[in-house]
Parts: sequence; structure tokens; C-alpha cells
Amino acid sequence: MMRHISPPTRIMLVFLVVLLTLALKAGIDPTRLAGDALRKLGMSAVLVLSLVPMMRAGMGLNFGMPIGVSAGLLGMCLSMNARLTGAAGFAAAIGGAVAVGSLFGYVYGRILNVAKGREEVAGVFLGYAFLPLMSVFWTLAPFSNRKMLYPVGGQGLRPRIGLDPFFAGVLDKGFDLTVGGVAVPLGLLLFAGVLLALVALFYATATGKTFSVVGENERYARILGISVEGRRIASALLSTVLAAVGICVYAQSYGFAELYESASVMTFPAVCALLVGGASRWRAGAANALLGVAIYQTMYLLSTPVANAYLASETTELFRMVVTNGVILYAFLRR
Amino acid sequence: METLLDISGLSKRYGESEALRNVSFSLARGEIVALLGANGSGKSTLLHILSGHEVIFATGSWQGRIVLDGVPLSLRSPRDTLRAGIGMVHQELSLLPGLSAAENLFLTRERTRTSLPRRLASLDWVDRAAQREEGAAVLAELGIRAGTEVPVRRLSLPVRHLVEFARERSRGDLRLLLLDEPTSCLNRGDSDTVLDAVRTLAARGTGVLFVSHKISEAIALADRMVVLRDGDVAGIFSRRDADERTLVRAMFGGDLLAATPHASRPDTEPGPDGCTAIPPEATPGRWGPSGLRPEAKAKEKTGKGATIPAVPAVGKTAEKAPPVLAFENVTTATPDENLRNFCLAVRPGEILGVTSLLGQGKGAFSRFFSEEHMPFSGTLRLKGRTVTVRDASFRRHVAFLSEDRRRDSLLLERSVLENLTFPAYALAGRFRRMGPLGLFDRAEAERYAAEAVRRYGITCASLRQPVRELSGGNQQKVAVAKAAGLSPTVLVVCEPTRGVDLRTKRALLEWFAELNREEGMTIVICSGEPEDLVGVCSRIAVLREGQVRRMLGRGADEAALLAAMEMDREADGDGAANGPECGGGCVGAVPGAPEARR
Repeated sequence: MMRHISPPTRIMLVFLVVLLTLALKAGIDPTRLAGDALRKLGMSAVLVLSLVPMMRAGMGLNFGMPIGVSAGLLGMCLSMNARLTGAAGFAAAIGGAVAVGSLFGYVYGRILNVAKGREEVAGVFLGYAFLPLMSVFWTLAPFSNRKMLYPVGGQGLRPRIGLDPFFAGVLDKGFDLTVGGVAVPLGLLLFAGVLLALVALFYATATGKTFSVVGENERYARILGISVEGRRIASALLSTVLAAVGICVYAQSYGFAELYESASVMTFPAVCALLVGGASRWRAGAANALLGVAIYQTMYLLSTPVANAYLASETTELFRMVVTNGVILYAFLRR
Repeated sequence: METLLDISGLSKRYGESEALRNVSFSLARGEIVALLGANGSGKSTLLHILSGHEVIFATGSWQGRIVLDGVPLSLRSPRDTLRAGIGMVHQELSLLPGLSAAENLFLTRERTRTSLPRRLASLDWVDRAAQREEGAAVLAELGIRAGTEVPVRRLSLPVRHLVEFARERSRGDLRLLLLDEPTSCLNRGDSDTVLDAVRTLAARGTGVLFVSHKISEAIALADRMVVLRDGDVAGIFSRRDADERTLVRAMFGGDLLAATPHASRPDTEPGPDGCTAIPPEATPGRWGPSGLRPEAKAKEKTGKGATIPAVPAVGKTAEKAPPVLAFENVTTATPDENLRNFCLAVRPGEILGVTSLLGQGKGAFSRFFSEEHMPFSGTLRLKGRTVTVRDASFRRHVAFLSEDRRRDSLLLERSVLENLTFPAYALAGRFRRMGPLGLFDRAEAERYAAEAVRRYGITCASLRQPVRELSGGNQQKVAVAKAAGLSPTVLVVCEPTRGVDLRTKRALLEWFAELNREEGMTIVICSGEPEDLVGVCSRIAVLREGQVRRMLGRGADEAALLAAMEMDREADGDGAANGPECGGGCVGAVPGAPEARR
């Protein structure tokens, strides 16, 4: 059975078991660990899921995720600027994220169609080139809610906006449940679960399968009359929208919306998590996203207390960087 | 004769399956040996071993002994093969698609203009002009005179095959040439050019080992024939004691030559000069409002050449019914070969053959269906409606199987089940469940796929086996079954028997006839193989310079077809066939730059 599990997944599972053993040995409360792991799973699942559509369409790993993340941040800012709070605020943020994400995604898809075959490199540069533009926007956009603006001068959005007055934890606390001492963020998990199921369901439909075929064999798809360019644009759009929604989910759980350059740090962990979930550079599904995020985030969660107990606490971040970049490198080395 | 290659006790396994078992034979200097066998008999594996193909070592190497010119070889990589002086022309080509034909010819042995010391020779400047000139001369020997400057990806498959052959042939250090189906996508005339070139090579002392499914070609070319069956040597025959029947018996363990493929329904007859009558609705032209030639009208009156209704539901004969697919003055613009003022009316319910010599339009006809962005002028009509290849309605009604099945017609990593059912599921609305969701009904699909596997005789371990693992013949069967599953109005197949053994070839041609006879499917077979067309097609369009220049009827035999393909230019002027297909208005006219429509 182990032969069917990809090497990154195997390595991560072994690490996870080692870390779990060390954590329990260090006296860390397992129920708290389990609750945090579930929360981390719900927080990041949608962001990881957002990589799936582009991979399915043969466009590779979406290193242009900052574009989608920026769309989500803009959606949240619009909601906060309208002073909407609670579920309504979150729903408005999602609505704004979907609208802006659709626009960004369409343009992104058009550009990637021009860069066909080099989507990953193009995505990296698009993502990085996009952030300075958004930084200018965050500085100059005419937002008026003082809670979002720099306290001094009153112009430009803060790099880190607290979501407590708006919709922080709206999913986490919505249907809070405790099972056997483990705090289960049911609302968060349900929201992520529904999106995962919808994406899985979509790719099980006839239309969804045509998206996968475009990624597998473009000429085959063309001869069958499938619009390759159209499917690719739709995939980029879907990836961008999911990334936009994903950052909203992440931020409401984290409690802050981080603007400016912060959008760039979401990509590599998400990519790594998907690969850990057994996806290859060209093949991925919702199940890979779910498994990957569960393993990767739990491992990351455990590494901090274990490092604090047995090593220097700074090693956690180093460890995370080595693992993340190593897994992505492995995906590129593997054909 | 001096032995050049000596193979003894050669065995190879792929996991549990034994591809070659204790194979032994030798090849003398200047000798041509044909390697024959059914699909899956081990021919390709043997060539893979001799060419140092990476898949051989990735799957556990081979056992036995290979000696070339007295030197034992390990052949662990293509580099070893090159060093040993072994050249290979692959069936699945190995050209760099972005380079021109001339650049591909001289790759790794570039012509240089400076003469640096030997240690620095790799820094010599490439003499592009010399390469162009020499390359053009080498290619011209094989009849390639146009398109040598464009990237090879833009050339048709037969031309690419010739370029690959020219590359190996022009190597100065060549001692042994391996050919995998060297003429599989070439028509008779072009095959003869290649075979002549092979003979010349052999006369110079190069040993040639070639794989072919064309038994008559093997008998004509080879000094000896090695027949493989299920990985064993089933016999070694010299040209003197080999006839077709003996070889077929050795290959298949039985006599397949007794059976003949079923012909299509006798729905159409050609005109007296070998040209078909024109469908009246399609071509009101110079022969009056009916569009029929006087001879055809007379025939119609006397009932001679009466037809069986192709589409009984509409109550019209195939001859009277409007064409289901019609090309009207279609001109394409590609760097290689083009359709020029091309007119062809495909009648409902017929099996129509399309053929030409290399570069005369057959390739362009095929690419017209596969390359949706190919610019063209003129009109394409489907059931009377003007369409383009990109239109969904066109793709829904016209299924296309290209000559490059691995690239265009199959999802190699997917299972037999998925390949057989995907197009019908995604595009024709079959195998669906849960109403509007339209999820894949696996049980229903498996029933259908199992039936298709049985009906088409596809040999596979299970429905879940990836198509990549099937032999070429079985892959072709999957591709045909997949297309048939779409129940298209018109099925266009290009080189359907390329690279498949005699048994599979027979089966495929029978299926086309069966689909046509029992389901009323209109079929267009585009092929350079007379055997694919004669006796199968009710009409055969022979193209030259991108136009239909002859239309042969069912009565035409292979000799007539070959004569029509080779006809000289003087005969072109009569406009016998293109005239009627076009309504007589476009014979010989070659327009200027076509207007881009797609």
C-alpha cells in the first residue's frame, strides 16, 4: 500500500508520527492539539483547494496565487469599509472576493493563455509584479473606515487590520462544538468541506471531466471540439476565486487581514500542502488538498511546541522553510 | 557473408510479462533483414533494446548477447547506440519539433565554418548556409523540396518521417540501421523512394533491420525475414522460400489470407469516366439544373447503378440525397501542403476514400480536421449549413481519428474504460446519472466498454489497464471504438491501419464496413494504402496539388488506383472529377492568398 503513497506524503507522515510522539512525551495536551489541528485544517483547506482547477487544466502549480489573495483582501476591505459585521460582513466579504476574483481571474487566465507552457514561471512573476500595484492601491484607495486606516495621517490602509470589530471567528465560533474535550470548529470545517465537495463534484461531472482532458491532452480535446482556451481561462478564474474566498476564510479565523506584501507568503505553504497530499505537478483533486492540508498543517502545528521543548524555538521556521521548499523542489525534479 | 550483428539468447521481461524469449539470429554486412510479427510479438522491444531505449533499463534491462562487428555491446543508452554506429528511425518520431528539417538533419554533427583545434572543435561556428544547402540536397533525394526551412512541427507526419529517415541515412558512421515501420504513413510511391534508398544503403555495406507489417514489402525488400510470435522466433525465412501465406502462418499460427474484408454497401457508382455524379441539390452547375452529367442522367433513367438508400428515414438514395459534408472551393494556407480550391461532396451513408501521393493533398485534408486554427478560404457545409471545424455542431456530427493516434486520439494515461467512454459521456450525453448533475454512470459505462472490448476484439488485461500499455493495434482499436461510441454522422479516419498487423487491419476495415452497413454511418477513409480503400470504399477521391483530380468507383482495382495517383500533369487538365464535385467551376484555378476564416 505504501507504494501508492507519494514520497513527500510518506516522509511527512513519518515526520508527523515522530513529532506527535515527541509532543505527547513533552506533555502537550492532546485534546488541545487536536482542536488546533482541526482549526488549521479548516483555515487553509480552501486556499490549498484553489490550486486544483489550474492543475487540472494542465496549467501547473498556481504560483500566481497572490492575485487571488489580493482579490479576497479587497473583498474584505470593501465589506469592512461598509461597516458590515458578523455573518453579513463575512458574506459581503465573500461576495466582494468572488466578484473581484472573477475579474482578476479572467485577466489572469487570458495572460496565461499567451504564456502557454510556461504558466508556472509566468504565475510567479505575475504574482510578484501584482503586489506592488496592489500596495499602491492599498495606499491610495479612498477607504474611509478609520479602523482600517493608518492611525496617523488617516490615509492608506494599515498593513494589518484587526477583524474583531467585523467578522473575526464568524465561522470558527458559529457552530462551536466540543467532542471528548476537543473543540471542533464545525462551522469552519463545514464551510471548507462544502467547497471541497463542490469542487470534487464539479470534476465528477461531464463538464468537469472536459477540464481535466484539456490538461491531459490538448490536441485530443480540440479534436473533440472542446474549447481549450475557454477551459483554461475558466480554470484560472476558478482558482483565483477560490484563493480569494480562501483568504477570507483564513483571515476570519486568524483574526487579521494582512495587506501589502503579505499576500506573497500564502503560496508556497499551499503548494507544498497539495503536493504532500499526493498531487503531482499536473494531477490533483480535492482529496489531495484535504489530505495534504491535514498533514502539512498538523506537522507545522506540532513543530513549534516540539522545537520549544527539545530545540531552540527559532528552528521551527527553518524547519518549515526546508520542508516547504524541499517538497516543491521534489515536485519539479519529478517528471 | 561477413556477420555484422549477432544476437543470441536475447530475453526481456516487463514485470510479469515476457516480451522476448531466447531470441537468436544474425545479420550480415549489407544484408536487409525484416522483422515480422503480430502486434505485441516483441518486435518493438527488440528494436528498443538495440537502440538503447531508456524504457528497457527502466524496466530491468535484458539478458543475452548482442555483438556488432565482433564487439559485444551493452547498449545502456541511445548514446551507446550512436557510438556503436547504429541508427534508428522511430515509428513515433524523434525529431526536435522547433528546429527546421535541415537543422534536425545535422544535429550533433553540424557543418562548421572554422577549423579550431580538435579539443575546441565543439566551439566551431555552425555554417548555416552550408547546412541549408546540403540539407536541401539530402531531402530532395527523398522528394522533399518544400518546407525544409520551417520548424518540423509544422510539417505533415509523412514528411516528418522522411526527414527522420534522411537524418539517419546521411550519417557517415552508420553501420546498422534500424527501421520501425519506415513506410507506415507513406503511400506507395513515397514508400518506393524510401525502399530504394534502403537498398542503396545496404549496397554500401550498411546492415538494415526493419520492422514492417507490410508483408509484401518485406518480401520485396529483405534478404531474410525473422518472424516473431509471442516473444519467440517463429521462423527465419530467406526471400527464396518465403511467400505471403507462409509468413502469415508463422506470424499468426493460422491462415488469415482466406478472409477478405466486407465491402461497404453498394450505394454509389462512379460515372463512366471514373467520376461520380454530382448530388443535384449541391451542385447546380454546367450540366443543367440537376447538376448531373448527361451520362449520369442516362444512367439514372435506366436505373443502372441504382443505389440502396443510405438514410432510409428520409427516403432518398445516397446519390440523390444532399451531401452530408461538402467542401466548396476550400483553400488552406500551411507551409507544407495545402488544399487548393478543393471540392468534395461526401454523401450520406457512403464510405469515401481520400488518397494522394505525399504532399499532394492527403496530409492537408487530414490536418484540416485536426488543426482548428488552420486558415482557409472557401466554404465547408455540414448538412447544407455553413460551418467551420471549430463549431460545436461540426464536432458533434463529425468524429475524427487522426493518423497520429497516440497524440490526438487517446488519453494514454487513462484506462481503457475511460478512453472508450469519455467522449460519449462528456459530449454525447451518455452514461449519465443523477439527472441535471450528470455524474458518470460507471456501471453502465463498464457494461458498454466490456461490450466494445468484446466486439472490437481489444486485448487488454482489464478495463482499468492504461491505454499506454496496450500494443499499437489495440490502441488503434480503442480509438476507433471511442469514435464509434459517439455515433457521429460522419466518421473521418486517417491512415487507420498504420502500424497495425494484418489481423487488426482486417478487423478495422471490417468494422468500418459494419458501422456503415448496420448503423448507416458515413465514413471517410483518408489513406495512402490502396488496401485500405479498394474493395472497402464506394468511391475513392484521388487528390493532386490539393484538388480532387480523379474519382474512382467501387470497380476500381489497386492498379487503377495507383495509376490514378501517379497520373501525369497532362491528365490533370481534363478536370474530370473536380469539375463535378465543384459544379464544374473551379478546375485548375489556384487562388491567391486565402482569406483567414478561423
